[in-house]
Parts: sequence; C-alpha cells; structure tokens
Amino acid sequence: MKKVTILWLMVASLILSAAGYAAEGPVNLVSVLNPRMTTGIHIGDVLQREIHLQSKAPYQLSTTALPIKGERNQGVELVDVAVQTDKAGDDSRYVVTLSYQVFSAAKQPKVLRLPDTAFAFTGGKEAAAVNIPVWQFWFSPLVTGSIHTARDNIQPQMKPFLIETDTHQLRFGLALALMLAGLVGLVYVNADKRWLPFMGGEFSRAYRKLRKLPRTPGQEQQALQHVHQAFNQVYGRSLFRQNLEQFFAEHPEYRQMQDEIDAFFARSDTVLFTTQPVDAAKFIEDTQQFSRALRDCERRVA
Amino acid sequence: MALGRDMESAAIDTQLADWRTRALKLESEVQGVIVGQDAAIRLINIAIFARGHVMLEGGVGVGKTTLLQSVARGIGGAYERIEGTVDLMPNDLVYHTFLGPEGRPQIDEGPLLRAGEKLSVFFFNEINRARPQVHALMLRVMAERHLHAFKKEYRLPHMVVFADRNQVEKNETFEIPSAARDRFMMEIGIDIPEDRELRKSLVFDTKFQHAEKLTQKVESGLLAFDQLNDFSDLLQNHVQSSPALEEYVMDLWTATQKPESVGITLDGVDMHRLIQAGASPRGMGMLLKAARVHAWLMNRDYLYPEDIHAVFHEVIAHRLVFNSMYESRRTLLSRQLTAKILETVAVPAKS
Repeated sequence: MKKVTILWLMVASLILSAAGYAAEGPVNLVSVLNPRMTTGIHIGDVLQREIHLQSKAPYQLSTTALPIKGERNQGVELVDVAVQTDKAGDDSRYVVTLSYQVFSAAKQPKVLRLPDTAFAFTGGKEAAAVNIPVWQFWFSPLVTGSIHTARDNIQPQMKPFLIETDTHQLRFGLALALMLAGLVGLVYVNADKRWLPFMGGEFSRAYRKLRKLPRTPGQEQQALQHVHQAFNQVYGRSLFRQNLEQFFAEHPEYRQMQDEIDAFFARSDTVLFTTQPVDAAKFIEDTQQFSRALRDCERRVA
Repeated sequence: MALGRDMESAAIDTQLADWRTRALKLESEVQGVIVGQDAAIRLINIAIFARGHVMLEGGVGVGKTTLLQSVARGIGGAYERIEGTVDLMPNDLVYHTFLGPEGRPQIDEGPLLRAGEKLSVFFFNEINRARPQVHALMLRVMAERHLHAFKKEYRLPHMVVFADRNQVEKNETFEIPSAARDRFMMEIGIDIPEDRELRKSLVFDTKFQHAEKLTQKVESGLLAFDQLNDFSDLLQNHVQSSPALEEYVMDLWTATQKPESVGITLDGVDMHRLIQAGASPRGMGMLLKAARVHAWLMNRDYLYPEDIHAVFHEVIAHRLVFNSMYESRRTLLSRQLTAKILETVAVPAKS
C-alpha cells in the first residue's frame, strides 16, 4: 500500500510539473539549458544555467529577487548573474544566465548540485514565481582515493556531438583527385611508355628510337626513316610531301603543325635526295624535338 | 681549270633554264588550246624531252588529234599521220603507188619517210586497228629510228611516235603485243574533263568546233625539234639521283614484279597470279628518263620521289603483263596496282 502511494505521488508530481511547464499563464518558464556534461567536472570549473522566461504585462521579473552573486551551496558558488530582457508588446522575454563555479575540495567523486532557484515576478495583482529545479552533477576530484563510489553511481550521459567532417572529406577528396589527375597528366605528357590511350602511338615510338640514336654523321637517314615510318603508319600508306593536305584532312590533330611538317618534308627531301651537306648532330636533335612535338599532337596534349 | 669548269657549268645552267622556259611556254600554249588536259599536256611535254614515244588512250572525240597537232606545231618539224585500219599493211607506211601525169604508175615515199630527217611527230591513229605486221614495223622504227627502203637508209632521228588506241571498241582490233607496248615510253589517258564549266565551254564555245584554227594558235617551232636529242642527253646527264632514291626505285621495280612481296592486295585478285611480267629494265630506264625531265621542269637538279610519282603510272602501267584471266580488266587493275605500289613502297625503306 505504501509503495502504491509513493508511485501515485511521483506520477502526480510529474503531471503537475509538466502542466506547469506547458501552462500558458502570465508567467512561464520557456526552457532551461543546463551544462552539457554531468560528469568529469573538477574544482574551478564554471557551470552555466541558462533560463528562458516569459511574462505578460503587467508582470515583470523582479531583479531584486534574483539569486545573489556569491551565494555558496555545498562548494558551488554563484559567481555571476546576467539578465537579458527582450520586450515585444505585452510579452517580455528574459534570459537569465547563472554562472556557478565549483570550489568543492572533496577527494572522492561526489554528486553536487546547482541549487534550485525561484524567480519572482511582480506587477500583477498576485505574486507569481517560476521555480527552477536542482541540477545534479558528478564532481571529479583531481586526486581520487577510490572510484568505487563512482561506479555505484554511474548514470547515462548524453552522447557527445560529432564534429561535422563531410565538408572536409569532400575537400580532401577533391584535392586528392586533382593531384592524381595532375600526376597522370604529367606522366601522360612526359612518359614514353604505352600504357595509356594514345601513348603507344607511332610518333611516341619514333621519339623513343630517336633518343637512342647516336648523333653521328651517317645516322641522318636512320633518323628520317623513324619519323617517315611513323607518318606512314599514321597515314596508312606512304606519305609524301604532295599528299600532306590529304593527311591533314584525315588527321586534323596534326594540322596545328602544318608548317613544321611541311618544312620537315622539304628538309627530308634535301637530306635524302640531294648532296647538300648537313650537320648530323643538329639535324638528329632537331628531328628528335620534331618527333616529340608530333607525339604531343598524337596524344592531343599539344 | 676550275674557272673553265665554272664557265661550262654556268653555260649548262643557262641552257637548261632557256629550254625550260621554252618547254613551259609550249605547255601554256597548248593549254590555251586544249582545255582540261593539263596533266596530259605535262606528260606529253615530258615525253618529248625524254625522247619517248607516247600512246594516247581515250574515247572518240575527246581531242586527242587536236592535242597532238598542237604539240607537233609547237615542236616544229614535219608532222605525219596515218589511220590504223584492218587492211593497212606495213608497206603503206613506207611507200604508196599512184598513176603519174603520164599515166604511168609511180612510187612515192609513204608517210613515214616522206619528211625524212625533218619528221618530228608521227601520229598513228587507232593503232590497235592495224595488223600485227604493221605493229612489228612500227616497233622496229620506234626502236631503231631508221628504215631501209628504196635502196637507201632513211634516218628518222627526231621522230617521236604518238599513237592512240580506242579501248572501248574491240571489234576488228588487234591487241598490241607487250613487246610493242614496251617501246612506248608512256600511255597517257585522255579523258573528258570532269569540271562542269569546262565541259560547257567545250560544247558551247564555237572556237572548239574548228580544230585546225585552234592548233594554228600555238606558236610554231617553239622547241627546235632537231636540237631536242642533244638537249635531252644534256638534261639526262645533269639531273642526279641519290642512293636513297635509287633504292626507292629498286623497291618500286620489285613491287611491279612481285606486288605480293611488299604486301599489296587488290580486291578480288589473287596477287600471286596477277603478274606475268613486271616492268622491264627498259621500262625502268624510261621511268627514270621521264622522271628526270619532270625534275628539270620543276627546276631541280636532283630527282625526288614526286618526280617518279608524276610519271609512274603512265610509264609503267602499260608494260605490266597480266595473267590472261585478268587481262580483260587491265585498265582498272593497272591503275589500282600502280597506285597501291606508290602507296605501299616507302622511302627511306624500312631498315
């Protein structure tokens, strides 16, 4: 019977309390924001309670009845009281910030509390007040003798807020992708190998061969042979100077080098079919650079 | 000594330049009369300076005769012509008989001998209508440029033979044997121009209705026909070829003999059975002669592949002897084959 009575009393108090919060009277408690953490609080920590109140005219928060700065209760001292008032017509909104500092010197984890507080409102015919309940927290001593007590009193704690990392991840991903693309681009432009599209092209092969060709007299024809062979392979048949326009029509990616290609064929005719002397080293070097430019056209990176 | 060589070289250069100017003038004169045949005119010009005989191939009424008459007028010298017919006999070229004023039979020199050494152009119209005996005579005269008749030797040192054959009609014709074809330096196709405006001009412009008047517009004796042989020798000695080009020509020659060996394929043709005989050494020699003239006309002292290309089909195609199963498609296949050879053979050759 006694247990049933206690249970009834608890339910009734909860209902009354909820009714008090929700009631739309002349004086209302809008919300109470308590400290986020209920554990791990040490000596010297400052805890803030933010109480949002609302009143209708003629009721006003009595500033003289506010808790007095310096009040100490079980090692918790009220160190600051701040009131922010916002009026809109008959309604007044108050934000009361109570700052408590913990001065407890207990050596064991201990439950402390921010005290209950009553806020009085004046101006109406009848006195009105809003009561703020106690808020309990665990005090953690800097030096503890035992945690047995704490274990016995473990209570669930609000899950900590996670830091928003999506934006950072996106930025990191983008940066990584850009870096990879840049690396691939550099490899694509500079590498001689043939494991990417257009990399195994004829001019790439010619360029590789020309790099290995000794720059000595007598090698000019070999150098020309490498480049002409590449042209022939790309064109699909033997390419001569008089067919260049047809070549450009079929392979427009080389048209940007039209003048250089025409000059190369003219020079090639001179070297191959006349007795005009030529500086072999420079000629092979020039031919190598020319084949490199053609390779860039072939890879569409020129 | 060196000064003497320099002076000689300068004199040769002057001579080459002077003749080039005349050759190009002849071309432009003939081009003014014969429209839409610039390529053929250039080839005929090359043949004249290479001292080669030419066979013209084309339909009826495309202007072959007018073209040749115009060229002959530009060359200067005597121009003779004979029509190929099925009853034409070799002696018709050498002499003809007629009744003289006294009523007695007389013999006179035929068209081949009539002008003697002044004969510069001999035009054999529709040569494939003549019998093989006539072909044989022509073949001998073209090769030797002289003929024994009337108990004396007739020399024809400046004669160039232009013959034409109609490939469309086959009735009462005799195929020219490959040995006779080989004596011709070139076979040049004379086609109706593709250009619509040119065609319109040929039909509507009344000046083209009078072939004789047209040919009269060409300046006569532009080339001094009796100096052409000497100048041709000079020209042939002057234009040089490099080892790379010589290798290229050798590769081309091989390709005419064994096209399959260089990877040439033609649609619907068994390449191993296509060729019975490729170009002859004489044919390749003529190719180089013609190419040198082209190089000279392009104002170069060295042969380039483009010089070979410019005359390759015309010099080589008619020399190729096809297997009889492909002979009926000769015109098409020879064109395809020479084009493929030029497309396939590379210079410098793959090492």
